[in-house]
Amino acid sequence: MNISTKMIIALTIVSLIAGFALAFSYEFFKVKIADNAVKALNESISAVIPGAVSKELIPSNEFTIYKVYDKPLDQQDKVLLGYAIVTYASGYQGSIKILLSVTPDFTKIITFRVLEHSETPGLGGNIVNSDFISQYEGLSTEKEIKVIKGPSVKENNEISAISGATISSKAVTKALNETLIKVKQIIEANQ
Amino acid sequence: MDKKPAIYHFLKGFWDENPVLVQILGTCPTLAVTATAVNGIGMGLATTFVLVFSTVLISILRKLIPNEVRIGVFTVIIATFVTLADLFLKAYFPDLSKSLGPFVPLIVVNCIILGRIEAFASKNNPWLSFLDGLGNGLGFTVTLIVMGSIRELLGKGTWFGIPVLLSFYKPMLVMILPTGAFFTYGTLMGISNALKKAKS
Repeated sequence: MNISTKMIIALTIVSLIAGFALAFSYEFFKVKIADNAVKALNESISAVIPGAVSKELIPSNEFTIYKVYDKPLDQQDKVLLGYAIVTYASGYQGSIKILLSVTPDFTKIITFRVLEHSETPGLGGNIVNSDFISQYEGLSTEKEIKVIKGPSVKENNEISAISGATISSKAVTKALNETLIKVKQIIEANQ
Repeated sequence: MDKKPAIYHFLKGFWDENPVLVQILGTCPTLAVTATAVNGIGMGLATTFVLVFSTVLISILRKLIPNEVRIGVFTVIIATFVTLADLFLKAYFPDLSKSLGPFVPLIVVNCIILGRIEAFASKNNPWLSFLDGLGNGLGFTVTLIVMGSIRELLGKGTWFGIPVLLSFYKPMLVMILPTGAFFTYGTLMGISNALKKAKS
């Protein structure tokens, strides 16, 4: 048997076995990985909307928007607790994934969580801290949120930038402003 | 072919031929994921898993693989085990998997693995290859834990996520940034070389 035939046989057999092994193990792990993703999403929704029990997806091409209720979806007396929206900001070093929650009448921000980011630890990375996030809680969705260097006034829809991380602070704020305008239209169209 | 006792092939990975400090292999994950001690353990054990299984399998197959396509065959086998490790971490340790990010799939091109296979497993029997793979893998893990611990302690004031340094300690941010990885790596390598020199 010449050498090329040997090479072809060896590579083919190894690749075939590897392919089958991976296909079977993927089937095995797939369910668990999907479960983890659902669990992570539910946990972060509960973090931005306390008391959340069920969620309903609002169809949209651009955003992932959930209507969040306090009781299972099939119950008639369920109350809308708010909207949870997944959105992205372009940060200092890549995209920042944010889960934003808004009151049921869509007038005020409840809070948000940063799900993924690659900002500089200790500077832009502080956007995940509650000191920064709490500044947004209760801000109006009707007016643009402004980023101020130094002390800010909540009544004027202002937040203070993290010192040394103005770009990250502005990126988050810009994403929230744009998301709020667009999602409001989507929700109004949906009703 | 080798007169050294079998246990030597296990122990050499920890100090004499430590993959990171002496062979200078696998420096990319070493620098990239050691911001915390937990990441060091996760990365180290995932690499050990891939290293042990692929060295043993390749050692068993070493006489069947034509020399001309050996790198291709090795890579397919390594990639298979890496994908298994990646799926396993995603399924059972989602948080760790998230913080290691792309560095788990990148074990495929980690030169410790291909290096040990080329230098050892393709020439030795499965038992010695197993010891060599395990020793190198655990040596890699220990080194990553040491680096991760130093960087986490100095950079965050915590160890395995638990605050251990008193609150008046102001963390040196630079230690968890890439720069800190180079500082730590260089210092460790210097210490290890100085100790070896003093011994000989």
